[in-house]
Amino acid sequence: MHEIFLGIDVGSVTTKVVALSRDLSLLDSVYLRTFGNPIRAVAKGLERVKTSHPNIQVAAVATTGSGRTLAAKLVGTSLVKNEITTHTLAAVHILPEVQTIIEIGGQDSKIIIVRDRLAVDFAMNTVCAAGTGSFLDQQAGRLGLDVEELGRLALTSDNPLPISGRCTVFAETDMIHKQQVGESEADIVAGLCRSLVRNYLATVAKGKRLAAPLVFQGGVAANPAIVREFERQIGQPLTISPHFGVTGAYGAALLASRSEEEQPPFRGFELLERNFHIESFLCGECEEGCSVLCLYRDGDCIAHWNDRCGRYSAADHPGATGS
Amino acid sequence: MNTAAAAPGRSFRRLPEDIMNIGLPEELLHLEAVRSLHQGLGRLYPEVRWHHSQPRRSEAPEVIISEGDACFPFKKTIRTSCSLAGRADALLVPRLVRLDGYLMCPNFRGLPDLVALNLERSSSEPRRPPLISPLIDEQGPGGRRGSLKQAMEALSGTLGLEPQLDPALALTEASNPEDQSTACPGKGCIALLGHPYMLGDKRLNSRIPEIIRSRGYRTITPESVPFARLDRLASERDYYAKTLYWRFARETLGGYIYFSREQPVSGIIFLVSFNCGLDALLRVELAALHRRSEQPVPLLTHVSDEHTQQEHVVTRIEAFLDILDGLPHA
Repeated sequence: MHEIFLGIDVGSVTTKVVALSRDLSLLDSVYLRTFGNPIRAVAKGLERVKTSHPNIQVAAVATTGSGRTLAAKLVGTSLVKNEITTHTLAAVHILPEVQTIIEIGGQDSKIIIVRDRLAVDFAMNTVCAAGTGSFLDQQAGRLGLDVEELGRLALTSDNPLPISGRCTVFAETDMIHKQQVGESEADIVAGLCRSLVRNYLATVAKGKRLAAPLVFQGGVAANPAIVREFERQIGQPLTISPHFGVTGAYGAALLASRSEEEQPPFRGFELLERNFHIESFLCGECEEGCSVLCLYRDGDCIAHWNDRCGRYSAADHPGATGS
Repeated sequence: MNTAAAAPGRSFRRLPEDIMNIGLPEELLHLEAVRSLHQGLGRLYPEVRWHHSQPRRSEAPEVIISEGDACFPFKKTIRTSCSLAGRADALLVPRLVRLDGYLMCPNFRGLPDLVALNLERSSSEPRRPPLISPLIDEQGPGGRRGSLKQAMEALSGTLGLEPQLDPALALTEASNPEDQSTACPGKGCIALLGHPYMLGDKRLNSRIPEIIRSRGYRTITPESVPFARLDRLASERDYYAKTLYWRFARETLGGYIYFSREQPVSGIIFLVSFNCGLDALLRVELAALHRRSEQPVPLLTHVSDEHTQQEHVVTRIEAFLDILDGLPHA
């Protein structure tokens, strides 16, 4: 048996699991579509790690991403961290001199300004998913392309067309119109990539100083046309993280490796043997009307969360507050 | 003007236990002037039972008039006011025109009218208590004392209440439920800027102050600093064709300068609501000041009603606090 550190990143579109050895070398990484079922995605990710490495013992696990609280309840850990911090941990580990991190995921995009290996500023997109991976995914699907193909096709264009990047609805309208007038598909998708980068710089980076070296991570870093556009618009080369698709989970695994707190026993592999499901109810105790979630294991509710006042979750663990 | 108005056709009806119940929406209590008025009335009429919050979610009434592009805090205040109507013998919704000589936004100036209109059109609300809306215009000679007098006269006239002491003695400076000292022990202070209801109402601020405090920081607001001082600081930026004439814009701007320069704190969080034009203007102004500062205090602007998932709120606040903590990434 050898000990590993696990990081789990449950995102809106994909779920990632990273296993690091004691010496922090990458043992395994799994990248899966969440398909709206994070329990199944986490279970699949853990199953793949266990199947590939049957003689492992999890020393510590940390979770991140928008589904981090659920993931933490599933595997039994108190190491739950936001994506900004885990992405910074990963980028600094990979390129210690990094100054700027560009991260574009399924529905999130972020910029993190780093100085002396510390995050000093950040910004995220807000309610609008224009300029994120799911938007590219959706447009690729509409054109009958895989999202991977979209980037390669865009690279063949020398004439990216102007596409509105501020709003996905307007962008789609623009693209449909350009198809109807007979513009080439390559020029349209190249224009889309250009507008996505323009949108990111205008609405996420918002005038922040993009000092080099810059690291690009997140699933969208797989798109070579987006990389080209960033380099063209910023005027500086980007370093693509070697683990760009799983950096959040990678950072979480690094966080787990540094934990000095005593952790509860890892129970993630129970997911492969027992029946877990979530139920929710609308709390009517006050006007906030929280949708309280309850995790069931073999029919028993084992944890509550998403109650802002902690009415239910505090009862799971007396002394704790809800998140 | 509008001392006791609206809800025509309704007469006061005492509850069986003969205790006077008056509703005053909790959102307004975060404003020092309204809190002062409320506390003064409490001294004058100790027998009154006050109601401030919305009932359980399932009991909250539907608000019919959507108020167009109004901000979420304004809509919430209307909803709270309407929900109180079912439990109160009278509703007290002051008409806030000017505080400390500066204007309130037009929405809040018209709040009593919107509440009255909603109550009037609501078919699900069988009880429509009288709406008392004393004018608070701290510009003229009457000021806050004048509005207390108006509110007192309306309560006496409409509800038959008799004051228990001389009104001149009733109005003192409002006490704040929060400790408002400016000391920053331990990890330090995070200054919260924004309209008072954004800073004080848990629903409007997504419990951000609680998240901050759970991480060992103290929260501090501009209310801990005399407004006159904040106003002087804000006047440094009075170079527009028109000066910034909104009361809470001056408090926010002065607060930013105070907490970044006069008494620097660990971090500043500006809590804004999506549809507030004033906040939109201030976001640009604070960002410009922040960029120009040689040693800027970390600033986060958080648009509260852009997030329905609490996890998204926690992500941003936690990441900001991680930065302040200097969490080692290497």
